[in-house]
This record gives sequence, C-alpha cells and structure tokens, in this order.
Amino acid sequence: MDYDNIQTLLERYFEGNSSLAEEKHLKAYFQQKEIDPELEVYRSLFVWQVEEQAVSLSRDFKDNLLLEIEAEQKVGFVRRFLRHPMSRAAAVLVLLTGMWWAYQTDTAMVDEGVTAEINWEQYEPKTKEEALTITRNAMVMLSKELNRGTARVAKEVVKVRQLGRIDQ
Amino acid sequence: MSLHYYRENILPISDKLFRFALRIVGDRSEAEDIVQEVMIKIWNKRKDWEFIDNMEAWCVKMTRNLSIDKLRSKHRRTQDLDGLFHLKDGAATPLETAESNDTIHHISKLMQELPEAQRLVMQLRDIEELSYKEIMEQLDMTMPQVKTNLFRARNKIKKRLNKEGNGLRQHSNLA
Repeated sequence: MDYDNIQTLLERYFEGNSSLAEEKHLKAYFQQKEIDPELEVYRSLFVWQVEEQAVSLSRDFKDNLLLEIEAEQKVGFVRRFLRHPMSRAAAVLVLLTGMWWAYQTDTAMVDEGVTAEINWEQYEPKTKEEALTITRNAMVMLSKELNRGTARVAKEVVKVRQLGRIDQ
Repeated sequence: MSLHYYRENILPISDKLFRFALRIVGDRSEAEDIVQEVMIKIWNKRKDWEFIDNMEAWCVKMTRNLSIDKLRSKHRRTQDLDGLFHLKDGAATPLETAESNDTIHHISKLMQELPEAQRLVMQLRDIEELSYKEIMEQLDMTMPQVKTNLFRARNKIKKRLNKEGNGLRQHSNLA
C-alpha cells in the first residue's frame, strides 16, 4: 500500500472517522517488516493492538469454571429444593412412605410363610399296614439318601487323592 | 439447557471480559479473579437471562462495575477515575524515549494513563473491534460521547508518540 493512502487512513483513524475495515488495514500494514520510516513512530501502537487481541485467560480457567458451575448446579438443586418448608415436608413424607412400604412388604412375606395351609391329614395313615408301609418307605428313602451321600464323599476323596493333596 | 447456553454463548466472551477488566485494574491475576466472579454471578442470575436484550453488553457492564469497585476498594488509582488527564506535557528526554520506546508494553502504559472513559472506548474499538453502536450499548454512552472519547484517546496517544519520536530523532542526531 502506498504512503499517501496509509497517511490518509492514519489521519482518518486519529480523527476517529475510520471504519473497522480501514483500521484492520492499518493493523495489517504496521505488521509488515518494511514500512515508511516516517510512519515508524506509530508502529508500536498498531502492533500492540494486534498483540492485545491475543491476550486471554489461562488455559484451564474455563474448564475449572465449568466444573465449579456443574458442582454448584448439583448441590444447588438439593439446597433450593429443601429451602421451602413444603419441600421439606414432602421429603419427610416420601421418606416415611418408603419406610412404611418396606415394613409392609417385609411383614407380608413373613405372614405368608406362617399362614400357608398344609393338609396334614393326607399324611395320616389310616391302617396299621399303611403305617408300616409308610415307615418302610421312609426308611428306604433315608437309606438311599445316606448311601448317595456316602458315595459322593467317596468320589470326592478319590478325586482329592488323585490330585495328591492328602497323604495316604 | 442453561448450562448449554452458558457454555456456547457466555463462556466464549470471557477472554474479552478479561481484557476489559485488565484494562481497568492493570493486573492480570486480579483481572482473572474479577472475571471468575463475574462469570459466577452471570450463572447465578440465569433466571434473568431471558429478559436481557444484549447479553454481551450486560456482561461487559457487570465486569466494568466490579473492576471499578475492586480498584476503588484497593485505592489503586492507576489513573484518575474522575476523568482528569495525566499524560506528561513536556517532550520526553532522550533517555526517557530510549527507555520507553523500545517495547510495545509502553503503549499499555500510555493507555493506563488515559482517563477511564477514553481508555475503555479505545479498548473496545481498537482491540475488540466493536462498532460505535456496540460501544454505546456496552458503556452506556451516547454516540457523540463515544466518538469524542475515541478521538481524544487516539490523539493523546498520537501526540505522545510524536513527542517521543522527535526526542528519539534529536537524540540520534546528537549521537
């Protein structure tokens, strides 16, 4: 850009009549290495303006700010909620309802166990033979279960021996 | 919803608020504290957002008020808040010129010496590249006030640079 043009722009700038586009032009001009020596005196002003535009907050400022706001938002909700007496009453009501429901559920489960009806009569023997048969069957079942248990233990012992974990 | 809006629309202007606060208090760490406080305040006032016409102007005003409050409370009068002008009238000595002319930091110092209104108008125009209308809204000024303050600020800087330039040239000739 020629000297006269820049001189005109500078005059407009110092009179406060330059447009933003013209001011950008001036900034660009003074960033150049070689400029008119007569205008050198103004260089620091325009170079300073460009450098100032790059001044910014430290890198983690925004991250920390957002973290702080997010934390405040979470705590803030509970605080704001509990600030009103009605909210506090509602919170207590919900808590009590929850406790009552838990208690009721627990009691119902216990009651169900106690009140379940069993028809014991069906197991009552009607004759001596029947009683003998039932007792024999019970003894056979018991014997079978015992045998099964013994067999399982023996099997496990064999396995352990094979693994060499116990001495003969 | 609020957090999303905050992240997308308000957080991005924090750098601008920081530069603005920095221009008033002149201390990086203090400006950062101010922006932190402003950003939290803005978040806490999220119920009012829907009633705010120009969010950016609102944030800038809040930053400006808080920065001035902090400055006043600490009696750190880096320049006259009532609008008096403190730039030196005499031509800079060659030594002063040599000391001051070497860095861009010097312009920051000159800016800090400007009255608050002039400094903030120049900041919003030359650094943030806002239109006159936007500056009016953000600083609660009329158009003539914006233009007058900008004209005065730039001219004071210009005169100072010219004096220092002359001083430097005279010094070179003597050498």
